[in-house]
Amino acid sequence: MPIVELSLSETMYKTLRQAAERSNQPLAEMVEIALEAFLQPPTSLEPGAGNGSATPADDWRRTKIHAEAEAWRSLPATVQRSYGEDFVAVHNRQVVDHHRDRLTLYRRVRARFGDVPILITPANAASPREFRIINPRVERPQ
Amino acid sequence: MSTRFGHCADYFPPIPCLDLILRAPDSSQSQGHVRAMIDTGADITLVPQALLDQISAPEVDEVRLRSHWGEATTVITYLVDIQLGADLLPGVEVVGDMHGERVLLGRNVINKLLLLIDGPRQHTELLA
Repeated sequence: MPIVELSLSETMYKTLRQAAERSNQPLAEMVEIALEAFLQPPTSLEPGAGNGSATPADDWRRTKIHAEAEAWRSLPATVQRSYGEDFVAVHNRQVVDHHRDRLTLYRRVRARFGDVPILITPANAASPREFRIINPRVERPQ
Repeated sequence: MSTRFGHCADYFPPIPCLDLILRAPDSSQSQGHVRAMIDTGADITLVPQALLDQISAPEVDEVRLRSHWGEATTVITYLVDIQLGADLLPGVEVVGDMHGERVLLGRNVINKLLLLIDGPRQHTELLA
């Protein structure tokens, strides 16, 4: 495995270390997860998906949600079913919390992890859920 | 007690609309008096991405959005608090819409409201 030496600011190092401690991951693994979330293009998207163009920070946030969704879908069905009708919170490819109420769960993970994008999805629904928008418009020639 | 909203007249025929306030959950940062079209054909509410970015709404899920003609795209959903008159709907899941300029109020919100749509007079009443 290639070895890369990184020079990080004290702030970044502390943030990484805290994230690693919270998710019980070695620091090197946490760096790899963060880089994967930032660099890996979502594999399940059609061209133009992901709500359109955005800043790099917005792209990173959305890419992380897509990566967490992939991680949730990769879990065995028995594990997914074990959460019943709860919503699950998926962060760094792990289920970090679950609760019956989505807003309660959002508040809990926000208090625990801060302003980072965390997937919150119903455990008992097909992933991704599908919604329909039925609103064709009539355009008449001028 | 009720609150009355005029139809959006820049469409033909005019569309029933409401005015609402959007904010991220538990946040004081809001977008006020946003016009929202009542869209009973939408399973879920769509909000222009720029509005979601302005209030720093949190991303929560990845979903598929399918149109009447069958095309589907993968999009991100967000959590927002929606204030309609004196009523607050906390933690509503909405889709970020990069292409639209109007809020489309889908049935995930409409079905929580008591509405009287008066077509001939072109207004909608939000009944308490």
